[in-house]
Amino acid sequence: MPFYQSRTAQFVLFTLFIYVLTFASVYFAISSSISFLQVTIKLTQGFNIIIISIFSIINSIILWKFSNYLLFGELRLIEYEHVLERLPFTVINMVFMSSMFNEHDIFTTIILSLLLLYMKVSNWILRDRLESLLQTVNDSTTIFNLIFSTQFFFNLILFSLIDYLMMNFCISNSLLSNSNIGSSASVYLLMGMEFTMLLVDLFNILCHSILNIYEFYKSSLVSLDTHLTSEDEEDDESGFNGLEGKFIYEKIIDTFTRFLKTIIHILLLIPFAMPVMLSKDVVIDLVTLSQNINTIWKIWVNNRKLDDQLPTVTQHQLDSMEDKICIICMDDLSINSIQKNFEKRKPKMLPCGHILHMNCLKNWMERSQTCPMCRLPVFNEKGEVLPTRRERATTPEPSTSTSSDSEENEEWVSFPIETIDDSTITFNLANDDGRILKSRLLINSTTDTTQNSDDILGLKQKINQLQDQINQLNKNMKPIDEKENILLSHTE
Amino acid sequence: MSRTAQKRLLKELQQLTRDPPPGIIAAPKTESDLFTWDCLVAGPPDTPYAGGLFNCQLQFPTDYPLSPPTLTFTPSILHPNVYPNGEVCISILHAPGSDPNMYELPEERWSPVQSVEKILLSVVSMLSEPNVESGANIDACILWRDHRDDFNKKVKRDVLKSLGF
Repeated sequence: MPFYQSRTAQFVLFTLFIYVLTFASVYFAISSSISFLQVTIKLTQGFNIIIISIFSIINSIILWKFSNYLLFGELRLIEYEHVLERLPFTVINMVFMSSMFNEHDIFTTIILSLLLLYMKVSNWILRDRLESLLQTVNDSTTIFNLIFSTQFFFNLILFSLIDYLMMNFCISNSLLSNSNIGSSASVYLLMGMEFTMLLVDLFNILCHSILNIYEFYKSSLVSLDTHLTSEDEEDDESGFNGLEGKFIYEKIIDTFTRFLKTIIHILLLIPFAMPVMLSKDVVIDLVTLSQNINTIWKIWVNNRKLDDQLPTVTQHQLDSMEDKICIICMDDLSINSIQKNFEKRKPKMLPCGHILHMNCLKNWMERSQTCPMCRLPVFNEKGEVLPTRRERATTPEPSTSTSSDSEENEEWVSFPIETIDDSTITFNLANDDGRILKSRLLINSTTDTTQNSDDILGLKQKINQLQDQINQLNKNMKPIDEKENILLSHTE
Repeated sequence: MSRTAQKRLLKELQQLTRDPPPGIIAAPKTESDLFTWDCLVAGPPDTPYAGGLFNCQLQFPTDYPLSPPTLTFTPSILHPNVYPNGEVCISILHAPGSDPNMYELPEERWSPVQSVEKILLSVVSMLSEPNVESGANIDACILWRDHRDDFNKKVKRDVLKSLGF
């Protein structure tokens, strides 16, 4: 690729061009005027204003890139993508917001919005950095170099400091100007609120990192412990498998920060009569808040019942399985109560018959309340654990063998279905004489429902034919019976 | 912590190296970071993608396998279900809670039963049968539906590019 076609080269050339243009326009403005006032007037007219604004935009981009490089180093692909994904919406939102302000506030608005944008972008990157920080964790990491070797926590503190100062500055300014003129009060107030939001976001990130560090601390304790007690034994199996209910804690943190944000919004909305634009945010906040609290509560309550209400698998049941692994961690399932952490690694059977480790199951249940394999729900609407399939199959069902007029096709639906295992279904059905016909339906895969229904339809037709044959045979039997009766009477 | 994830990823890697599925190669990018994988997917035969070798990157979250990874083609390819930035949009890569397109059944979503192998196999089947109903790249969808010849021509260019021509 030629030099002039690469993006960086284009940017450099453009920057140089704009710099030259800016200097030229400033030079001509100065040389052709007598006073400073005239220079400023000339610079804010016509082409000059365009050149100068492009100049400032380019400079802020360069400044931004440079400080990003200082604070974060090279950005990862996913961080770039997140930034590019969220940037347009945020910028449009800001332009909308600034359109509400008076003309003479334009400089304060622009400068504050640029700073706000910069802080927002840094926040997004910081959040992604937390994840990448956790991914680099391996056996040799200690809690000390987790905290101090990366810039993460330095950045976190730095950003919170900036946000705090800005928040302070904006709010005190808004209070000041509120008392005498009241012109730019709303600008400062709105910006102050945005910075407060960022501060709350940072607090959220801080909570998340504290949670993760706590988990890391516990895991290092456990691994130390196993190293001391069982040096010859492979500690692969008894290793620490994550903080229990971490996902829930994370959700609680998120909900709590959302709650804080809503409170701040409302507090600022009521006494200062904030613009209607913000009430949209408040409504959305309140709705999602109530939804989140609801789901967290449901998960919390349901998960406490898991251990009691789901049956622990017996050795016999385990032996009948084909491959004895837990699908979530891909580790073996075993019933060895002497084993360490047995409580957490107890194999549990879901209502659909699938078996998982207790702890893996718990972690999955925080995300979705269905079986990871067949998606059958574990709880019903009332939050009770559904009865297991095997249990249901053995419970006595209302027998249909008494129904004498089963000629109508509608009757087929109510035939008792007995599940032998996942791949076959046995239909028990009875004809007029009470004789039981059994037929077995083979299902290739439990997910392929369309084929199943086709199979069932075909089966129904077959059963219909059988029924017709039986009727025909019965009819044929009648004359024979009569003859037999006659013969019998004759012999008497 | 990410230990469960690391363990499971190692197991999947072992399984993939033991019996690799045809047309798929996948391994972590570096030894130190198990959470970013580089994959090579061969375009399925009898499709415009036939003959191509497409490079894609799997990025796993720290709570894998409870949350789905993201799959990105690098460079991006023209396909109705691949965003212009290369990200693949298939239902099994969406977490059970979120629904970007609003019409996916819950049973098509991510679950821990899925694995790297299954994801890549469903990518192969996505290449052979695009789902235009929930498209990620609208232009590609229109091309695929209305101007199949143009679509095939452009895909052929992608194939050549993927081979280094």
